[in-house]
Amino acid sequence: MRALWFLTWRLLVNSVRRTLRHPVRAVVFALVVGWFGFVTVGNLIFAIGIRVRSAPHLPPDFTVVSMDNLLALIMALHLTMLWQPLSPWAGSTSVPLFTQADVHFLFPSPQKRPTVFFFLLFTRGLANSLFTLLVLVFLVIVVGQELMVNALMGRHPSNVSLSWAYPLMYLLAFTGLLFSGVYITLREERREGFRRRLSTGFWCVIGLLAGMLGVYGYRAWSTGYEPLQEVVWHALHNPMVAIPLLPLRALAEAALVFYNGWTPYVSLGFLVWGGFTACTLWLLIREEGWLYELATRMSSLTTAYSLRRQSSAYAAYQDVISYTTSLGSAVPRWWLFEMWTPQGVWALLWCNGLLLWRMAKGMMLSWGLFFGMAMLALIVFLKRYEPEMYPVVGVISMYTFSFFSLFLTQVLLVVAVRRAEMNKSLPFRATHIIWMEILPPTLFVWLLVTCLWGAFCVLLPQQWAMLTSNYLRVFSIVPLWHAGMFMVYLLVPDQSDYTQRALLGMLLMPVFGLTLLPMLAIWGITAWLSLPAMAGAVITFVVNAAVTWAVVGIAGKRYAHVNLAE
Amino acid sequence: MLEVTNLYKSFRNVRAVNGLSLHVQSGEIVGLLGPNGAGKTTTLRCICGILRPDAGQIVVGGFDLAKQEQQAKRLMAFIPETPNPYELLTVREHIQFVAMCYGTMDTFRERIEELLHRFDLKEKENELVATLSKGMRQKLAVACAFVHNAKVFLCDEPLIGIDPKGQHELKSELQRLRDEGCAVLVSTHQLDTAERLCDRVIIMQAGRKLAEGTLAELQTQAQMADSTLEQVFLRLTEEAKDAGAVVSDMATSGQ
Repeated sequence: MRALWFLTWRLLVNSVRRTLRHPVRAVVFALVVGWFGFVTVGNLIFAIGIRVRSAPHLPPDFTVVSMDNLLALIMALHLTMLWQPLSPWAGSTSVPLFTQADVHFLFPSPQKRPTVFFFLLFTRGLANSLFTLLVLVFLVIVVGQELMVNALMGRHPSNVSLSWAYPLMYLLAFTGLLFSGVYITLREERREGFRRRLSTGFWCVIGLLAGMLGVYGYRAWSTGYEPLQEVVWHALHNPMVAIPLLPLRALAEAALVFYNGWTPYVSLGFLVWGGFTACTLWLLIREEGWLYELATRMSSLTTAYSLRRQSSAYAAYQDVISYTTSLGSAVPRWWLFEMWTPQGVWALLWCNGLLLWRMAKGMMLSWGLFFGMAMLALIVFLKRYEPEMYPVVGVISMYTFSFFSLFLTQVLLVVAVRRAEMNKSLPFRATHIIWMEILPPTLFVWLLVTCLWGAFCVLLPQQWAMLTSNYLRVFSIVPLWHAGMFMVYLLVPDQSDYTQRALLGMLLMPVFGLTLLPMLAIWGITAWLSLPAMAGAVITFVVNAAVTWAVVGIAGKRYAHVNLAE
Repeated sequence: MLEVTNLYKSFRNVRAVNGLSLHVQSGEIVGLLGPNGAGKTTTLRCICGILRPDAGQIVVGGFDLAKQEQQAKRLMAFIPETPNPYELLTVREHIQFVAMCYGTMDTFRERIEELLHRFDLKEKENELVATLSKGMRQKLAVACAFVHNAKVFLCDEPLIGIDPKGQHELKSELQRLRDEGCAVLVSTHQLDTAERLCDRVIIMQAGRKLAEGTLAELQTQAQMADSTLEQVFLRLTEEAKDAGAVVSDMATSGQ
C-alpha cells in the first residue's frame, strides 16, 4: 500500500512541477489559479458581508414549485455527471484507469491483487470526476452566495451538521457506478454482446421514461398548461416515473439537505446506493483472479486509442480501419471520400475529414438527431409566443447550437494536437496544417448552423435580414472558436497529465470569452453609430476572419515547437 | 526453478497457448522462440501473473503461482517488450517505486548508485521518464528488474531498442545471472543471439511447443547437421505450418 501512495503522490507532485517548469504554462497556471482563488475568496467574503448587513432569507417567491424545479435541475445535472464513472462500460478508452506502466511494473510485483486493482480504480476514477465536482462547487460559490449564506448561517443552522450527507452519497454513487462499469467490461470480455444487450435495455427504459414525460408534457401543452412544469411534477411525484428516478432524486435531496433537512429520500438513497455499491464490489471480488487481466485489457485499449491519436494522419486512418475491423463492425464508407481524392495539403483535409467521419459518426448522428428533435420542439414552442419573438428564438438557437457543438468537436482537436509530432514532418507550412485540422470540425458546425438558418428563413421569410446578419456572425465565430481551442490544446497537449487536463478545463471558458470580444465590440460600436445590422455583420465577419487568421498564425509558430514530452 | 505444466490460455475464441509445458533450471538460460503470434508474450505474462491461465500449473521456486502468488512473484523479475514506464516519475523514483513494491528498500539503498551507473542512467536520474528515449526506457526497465533479489528472470524481447553497447552489457548481465544460479527465460526473435546466449531453446508455434533442446538436439530433430539455429528454426516452423495446412485441408474436405 505504501508503494501505491508513493506512486500517486509523486505522479501528482511531478505533474505540477512539470507545469511550473514550462515558462508559458507556469504563467498561465498562476493566472488561472489566481483568478479562481480570487473569485472564490472574494465571493466568500461578499457572502459573509450579506450576513452582516441583513438577516438572510430565502426569496419571498421561493415556493414548493421552485423547490421542485431546483430538484429537477439537480437531478438532470447528476444524470450528466454520473456518466463519467460508467465510461469503461460505455467503451470510452480516453480515461486511463489503468496504464501499460501498471501492467509492466506493478502487476508482476508481489503486491496484493485486490489492493492494487481497487486502489488504482478508485483513485484514478475519482481524480477524473473530481474536476467536474470542483467546477460545480465553484459555480455554487460564485452564483449562489445568498443561497449559501442562508444554508450555512441563516435559516436552518441545525442542517449544517448534515453537510456530510451529499459528499458521502455522491461518493457511494460514483463508486458503485465505477465498479459496475468495470464489471460490465469484464462480462463483455468473456461474452461478446453483453454490453450491447445491457445498453439496449438501458436505453429502452430511458426512452420509455422520456416518452411518458413527453406525453404528459404534450397533454399539458394541448390543454393550455405549462408543459415543463407538468413534466417536472410527474418526474418527481408520479410513481411510474419517480420510482425509476429515485436514485437521482435521492442525490438531489441530499444536495439540498441544508434546506429540506433529512427527508426519507435521503435515507432511501443511502440504502439504494449503498446496496448497489456493495453488490458491485462483491461481484468484482468474486472475480479476483481475473482483475489484472481485465486491467491489462483496459490499459491496452487506452494505449491503442492513444497510439491512434499520436500516429500520422495516414497511419491513424489505417489504424482506425484495422481497429473497426477487429471489433467486427464494417468500416464505414462514404461516397464523398471515394470520389474526392485531393493532392497536396488538401489531402490532409481529406484524411482528417475521413477520420472525423469514421471516429465520430455515432456522435455526429446522435447530435444530428438531438438537433432535429430540438428543431421540432422549437417550432412547437414558437407557436405559443408572439410573432415578434420568432426571429429572436431563431438567432438564440443558432448561437447556442454552434456553441454546444463545440463540446463534440473539441475532442477531435485533442486528436489533432496529438498528431503534431508526425504532421510536422510533412512538407507543409504549420499554419496550413492547422487550417486543415480545424476545418473538418468547423465544416460540421457550419453545416448544422446553415440548416438552422435555412429552416428559420423558410419559416420567417420576412425576417431574413436579421437572421442572415446573425448567421454571418455565427459563421465567422465558429472557426475562431476552433482556432482558440487549438491554441489552448497546443499549450497543454498532454491530456494524460492531470495538471494539464485541469488547466485545459479552466482555460477553455476564458478563451471562449476572449474570442467573443471582437464581435461584441463591433456590435456595440454599430449600435452606437446606428449602422444597419447587416453592415455590422459584414464588419464582424471580416474582423473575425482576420482574428482567426492571426490566431492560426500564432498557433503555427507554437505548432512547430510542440512537444508532448516537455 | 521454474516449472510450467500444461498451460492453456485463450482470448475469446483464440487459443493463444495450447498445453505448453516447460522448465528452466537454476543456472540456465532458455530461449523462447517462435513466429509472431506464437504465444510467447502470453506465456510470459501468464508466468509473471499478469494473465490468468485457463488451465495448467506454474511453479516458481517451489511456490505454486495460483496458491502462493506473493511468494512466487517475489522470486521473479519481468522485463517487458517495449516497456511503458510511469512517465511522470523520475528515473530514480521509478526504481525506488519498484523496490517498494517488492519490499526491498534496503537493497535499493545499497544498489541504486551501482544500477544507475551500470545502465547509463546516472545522468538522467532526476529527469522525468517522459523525456527518455526508447532505448533509455528499456534500460530503465532492465534496471528495475535488478532492484530486488530475483531468482527467475522473464525477459520479453529485452534487446529491442537498446544500442549495441547496451545490448552487449545486457547479454553479459544475463550470463552473469546464469553464473550466479538464476533461471532466465528469454523470448526473442534474434536467433543469432539466442544461439550464442541460450543453453536451450524452445520453439513455439500456434501456442504449442514445436521443439525443445540444445542446438545440437534441434539439428538432429530437423535433420540439418551443422546448420545455424536460424536455418533449423525456419525448417521446423515451415514444416509445422505445412502440416497444419494439410490437416486443415483434410478437415475442410471431410477426410
